[in-house]
Amino acid sequence: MERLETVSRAGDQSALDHLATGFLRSARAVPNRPAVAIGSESWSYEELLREAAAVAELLKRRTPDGGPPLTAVFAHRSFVAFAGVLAALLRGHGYVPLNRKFPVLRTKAMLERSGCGAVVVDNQSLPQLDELLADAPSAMLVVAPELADTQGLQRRLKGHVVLGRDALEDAEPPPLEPPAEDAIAYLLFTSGSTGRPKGVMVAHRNATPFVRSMADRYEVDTRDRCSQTFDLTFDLSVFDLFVTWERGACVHCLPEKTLLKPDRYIREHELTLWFSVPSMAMFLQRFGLLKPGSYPSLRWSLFCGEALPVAVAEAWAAAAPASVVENLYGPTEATIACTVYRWDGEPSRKESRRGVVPIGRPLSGMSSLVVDEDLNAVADEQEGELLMAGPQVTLGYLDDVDRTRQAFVVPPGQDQIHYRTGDRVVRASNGVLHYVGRLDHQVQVHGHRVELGEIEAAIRDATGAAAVVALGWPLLESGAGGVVAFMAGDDPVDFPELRPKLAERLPEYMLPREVHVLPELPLNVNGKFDRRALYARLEAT
Amino acid sequence: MSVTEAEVRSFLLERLDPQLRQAGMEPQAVGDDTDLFAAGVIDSLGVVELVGVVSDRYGIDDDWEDYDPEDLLVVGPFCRYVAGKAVMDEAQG
Repeated sequence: MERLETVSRAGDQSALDHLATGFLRSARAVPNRPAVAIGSESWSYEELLREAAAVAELLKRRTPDGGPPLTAVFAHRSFVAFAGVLAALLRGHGYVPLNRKFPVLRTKAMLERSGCGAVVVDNQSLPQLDELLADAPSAMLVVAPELADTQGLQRRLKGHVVLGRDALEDAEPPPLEPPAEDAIAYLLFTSGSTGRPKGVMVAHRNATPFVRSMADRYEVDTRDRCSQTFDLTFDLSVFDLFVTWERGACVHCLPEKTLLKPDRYIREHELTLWFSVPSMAMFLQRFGLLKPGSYPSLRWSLFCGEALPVAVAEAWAAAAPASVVENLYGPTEATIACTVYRWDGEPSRKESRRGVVPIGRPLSGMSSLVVDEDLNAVADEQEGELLMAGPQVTLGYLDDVDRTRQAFVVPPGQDQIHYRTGDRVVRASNGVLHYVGRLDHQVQVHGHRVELGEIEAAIRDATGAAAVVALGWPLLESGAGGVVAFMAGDDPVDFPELRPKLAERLPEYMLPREVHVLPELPLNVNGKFDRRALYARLEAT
Repeated sequence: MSVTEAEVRSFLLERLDPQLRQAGMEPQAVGDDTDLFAAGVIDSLGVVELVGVVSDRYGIDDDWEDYDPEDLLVVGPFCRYVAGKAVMDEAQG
């Protein structure tokens, strides 16, 4: 019988509150176990640490002085992406994930606002660098660990320093320093209603309690093979990487297209822990691939990012009969996930409301409060806004004191900072929270958080139209399948001309699938755009 | 009655005509190896919707288990797969 190598749990309270601690502990305990698999390739903890330490060393020596302690990682589903995230952390910085699937202008705005002095980039993302670094406010260190010959790139990126494979030397991983109280582990941008993405600052002290409690809850050990379905620009990826590495397990990064149809991958690689948006389960269902007993290797099936329909939970539970299905909930501002509900068949079906699974109760250390518009607590069974408090409540928005103040509040009679989620919920008398909807115009498109206001601003800017309304459409039980927009005008819109303009600012999942032009947009009694009437129009077609 | 690959292709292109035009692509320019997902003609939801539509239309009762995800959504392999699986009776035709 295979001897089970284990990674001890983070001991007592004195364990360093640094996001990379668990990875380093695993790398010492089980250096030869696989840490990352991408497609058919895999790398051991030792190999990943060696690469990360070499990149960290280079970053430490060569990053221009000054600037905030943040390093960008411009890499996507590659070994460099994993090594880059670790390298940023090992050198004592927070990481800022960038995504080549996003419009370059959006990525450029994120990079410049973060103030990073260095970027770790994989070869597949290199073609976007010219545009990304054009007119950069200051010189940037570009570390491209896969690049053998840097001459061409260096010529193109005048004024910046490009270092490739040759510059990497074996280095001892630098000893981790205890992070300062508010040291950022990662900076993540989310959609902003005014047309500008907001940077959420997540501290080590926010992320580490979450990672440890999840590793405990799911009893992760070195035999586990955990899915990575989330892009690094989606904060749920922090769970994928760091909960897996906390206990010496292997994170399986699914290739891009496999995300649409992961059935074969789950079976061939015998994944033990699955974590995705419910949309992925719905996709499998549509392909006829959620048949009972399909995924016997799974021990845990976790969903987060959008509402989990009862029908999906039931089908998945039957398809992965050895697994426990859990529904997680949480905004980026309260670090990844902060409530959880365990699916338990028939009793859960009865407990669910409006066809969606409850979001459950706060994770250990976190607490919830359901309030009215004056932030006073409402009674159980009354609808209100969900507020969350506890160690996972983050530092707020980068360079945006006003928005931070509006969203991070101390409600009357409370002494802790609470984050206003903007989510409407009901707390049942047994303490279980039920998701109802949003207070504002935010929708979840396959788990991606989308401020419709940001799309409306982009359409107004591109067309000059004053009246624009974007809606989540089609409506699914989990959220929205996409976005459709209406604008007031006399002439039909030239969509093939408009679309690329919008694509310069908005990522794929925010691009409207259709733009309808009406002579004028309907208004409701309050003089606001009548979204219901527009929904009725869509339903009629 | 058997279904030909060409038939599936013409159904596909007709159905996706608006999306193709929106993406600035002429239906005639669509080749065997055109990847409609990579080209941004359809998004992930579009892929799933399409799978549902062709499953219903061509009576594909069994699952898509042996379809390679890398062929999502490449025109040639997709049409061949659907044609190979199709169980269509006269009434549906």
